[in-house]
Amino acid sequence: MASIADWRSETRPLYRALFGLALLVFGGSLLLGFWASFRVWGTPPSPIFDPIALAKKYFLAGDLEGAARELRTASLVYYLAVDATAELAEVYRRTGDRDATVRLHEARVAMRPFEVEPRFSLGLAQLSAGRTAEGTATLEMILWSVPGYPRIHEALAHAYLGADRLAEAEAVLREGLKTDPFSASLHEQLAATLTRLGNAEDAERELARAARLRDPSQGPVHEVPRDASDVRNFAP
Amino acid sequence: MAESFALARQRAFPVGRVFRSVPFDYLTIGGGLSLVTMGALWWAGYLQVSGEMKVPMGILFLFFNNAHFAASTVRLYTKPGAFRLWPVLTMGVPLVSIAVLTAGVVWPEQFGRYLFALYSTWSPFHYAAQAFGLACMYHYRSGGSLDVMERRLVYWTCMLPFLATFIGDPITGLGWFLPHTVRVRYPLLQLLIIQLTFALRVLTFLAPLIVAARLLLRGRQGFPLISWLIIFTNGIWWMVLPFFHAFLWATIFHGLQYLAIVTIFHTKDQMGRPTNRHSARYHVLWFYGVCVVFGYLIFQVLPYAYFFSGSGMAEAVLTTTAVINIHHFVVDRYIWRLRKDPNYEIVVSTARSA
Repeated sequence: MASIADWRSETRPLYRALFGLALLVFGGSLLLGFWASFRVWGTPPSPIFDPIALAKKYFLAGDLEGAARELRTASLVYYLAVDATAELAEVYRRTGDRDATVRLHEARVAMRPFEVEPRFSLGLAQLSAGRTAEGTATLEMILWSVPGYPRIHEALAHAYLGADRLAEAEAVLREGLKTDPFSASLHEQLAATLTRLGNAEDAERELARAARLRDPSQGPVHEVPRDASDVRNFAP
Repeated sequence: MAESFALARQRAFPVGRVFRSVPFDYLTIGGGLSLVTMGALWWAGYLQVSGEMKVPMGILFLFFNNAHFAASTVRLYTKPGAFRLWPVLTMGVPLVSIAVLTAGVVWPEQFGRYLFALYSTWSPFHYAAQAFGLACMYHYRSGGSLDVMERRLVYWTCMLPFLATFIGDPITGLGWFLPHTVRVRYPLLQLLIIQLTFALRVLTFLAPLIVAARLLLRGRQGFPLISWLIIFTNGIWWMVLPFFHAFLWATIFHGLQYLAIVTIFHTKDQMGRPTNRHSARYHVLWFYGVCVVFGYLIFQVLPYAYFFSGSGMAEAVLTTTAVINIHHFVVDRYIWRLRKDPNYEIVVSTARSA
């Protein structure tokens, strides 16, 4: 190690002043860092930081602004981007910022264009934002490229019903039932569609099927999954 | 006949003159340990493409990754004559780094994100450059030489994993300038990128064979096996593992590789000083200990200062990581020079004890 005397003799005063200032700022920051960690967490800083986990803590504590702040930065970073964007979209959805939700889901689709879940979430977000035509088109495209997801059939039928496209709703529900004939909610939604089409007899039959299939613990009949966490683990 | 064959084989694929011992150099600096470890993790199901990390990464990061970033700074300030040789780097750059870091934390979306993109784009290049430097170092140390063309061939062979990552990764490199939202609008461009990346991936493992064959056919002394191991290992880190795992595991084993070689250089420097009164073991432990502590301070403690000052933890941690990395890359450009540098003496010295 070079001695202080060597250092002084080898270097100019300006450089030494700059270095001294840097050391002062750096040292002060470290002291502040230790103090802040003890103050916030009661422990010294621990290895590995997970901004998504921290954002979830904020989220659960009801601090949506804090959660959004962590996730906004994390979503700019390569390996955190997809998950952080999904979580951020959920935060915005809960705050009611529908356009921001759609934008984030669009970003996720761009990052993972071949995965179904981001596209499904985008479709749902578009429908929630009142962009019915876009949402419907997104869901139709998924079913066209990767058929066999009953919950997408269900969501699409819901969109058709909202737009009074009853015949298309019936068709997509029947298509969905081919994939999953044991889905009580599909049968129920089909019954509702048939009722609106004036086909009371078939509607009764579908309702009876649904009643036989329905598990009482499954929740409301016509609920369409509205957020990413609901659909993230869905299976065909 | 058998003897001449053995001699020819020794000349074409020498084991190479190592710094410490063959197992130590091949496992740590050569990257052999990374292949064994990753193989075991893969076999145990810990390296799934979309799986979560089940290995205690925090501890590994603290002792290898963080320590290795700190090592370049510790090496810079303990290298004899560094203040005189590089006054701007040693005394001016720290303040500039702090200013850049602060700006990145204050404006994460306008500025911080680009620091991170720069760091993640530069990382694969840095690893490739280290692979090239180490491969050549062992070659020179083993008595070999390279003409201009051979040096270029080896350089671009080492650069192939970087080029593949630069072109193929959707967020760093080319993805930084051509984001997903733009790429998806041009399917032909997307296809071209995919095909080019695939070709570069294949070339990553073919090119070393071509270079080795060229040396062999021209009757030149071949690269030592440890040099090939270094080049192949870097290729495997970036080309075989999924990007996220590559980023994590490559940093750990690159850190181990770096710590091993930098500790050897530091120890040799310190042992060569006329005023030295300590053993080699003392210098090794001192250097590594300082690196672990300094790594902890800059990666784990420093962000809290920004957090306390009102920024989010995400921008504090991520921007700190980016600036430390960039500083490390810059410092490495200076402290690993061989030409007209005492480093060269260490490379070609015959002493094998560190």
